[in-house]
Amino acid sequence: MTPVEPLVDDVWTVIVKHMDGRSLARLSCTCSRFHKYKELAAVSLVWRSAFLRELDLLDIPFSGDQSSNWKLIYTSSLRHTGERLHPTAYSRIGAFIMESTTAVLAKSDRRVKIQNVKQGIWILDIFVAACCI
Amino acid sequence: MASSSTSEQKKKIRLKSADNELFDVDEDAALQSETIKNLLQEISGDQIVPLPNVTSKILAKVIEYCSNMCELDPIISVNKQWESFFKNCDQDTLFDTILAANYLSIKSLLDLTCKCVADMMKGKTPEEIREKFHIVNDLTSEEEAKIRAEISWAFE
Repeated sequence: MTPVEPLVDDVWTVIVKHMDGRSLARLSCTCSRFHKYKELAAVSLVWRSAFLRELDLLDIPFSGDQSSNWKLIYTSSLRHTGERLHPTAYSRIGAFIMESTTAVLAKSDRRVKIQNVKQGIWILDIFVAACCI
Repeated sequence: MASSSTSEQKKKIRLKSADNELFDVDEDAALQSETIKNLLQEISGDQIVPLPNVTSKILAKVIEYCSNMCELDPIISVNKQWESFFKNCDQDTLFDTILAANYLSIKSLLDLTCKCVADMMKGKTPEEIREKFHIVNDLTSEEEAKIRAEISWAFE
């Protein structure tokens, strides 16, 4: 028996919460069990954690919108930069003021609405909008 | 609950492992487990708490962890020591401890051991993850190709 087999889904939810999106995606193509995991609602919240963690947005209340496709948001932002997000590694090129509490992340034909975005000044890096201050 | 025990002598809880070994544990250490806490409410007096899902080898480690967590040392440094222990122990011990922490409902231990597993996967290819955890690939090559195409960004 493999060591991962006896672990129930609840335990896997805890494990994947600690994973970055890239590792989680790679895990999802190891076998059918882990591929299914990426469809679970709990895992959607994991994508949310991965996205917020990598953008340093942990303190921003994205509460409520459970239906957001966080994997899409995560992968869109990752594709955009072409590498893992390290906002602080880029030189800052500007800022904008967020007046609305709703934002839309878009990539080609796909759009995702995010509600309860923190209002105020946002720093804009070369590729990444990050660090609400 | 605490008022019934005297301050000079800590109350002990007696736990019995799957292989029938008995462990006398300080009450405050034992109560870190939600499962033991609930079991104590069900059984009366000084009865032994049976833990048929945990072997003595793993239970000894879990008790050591819970006792450490009750000490006055800064939790952060204690946690670091345990993290390095679980990172360096054999996989069976790590996974058995995860099962025990889940069964005993000790959240901080479950979190710590799960983080170690997550860290073990970091930066690894799917092939390396399969090899490390002996995962059998039950996907057809078409299915795998399709999944990989969906997440091509993870291989860039």
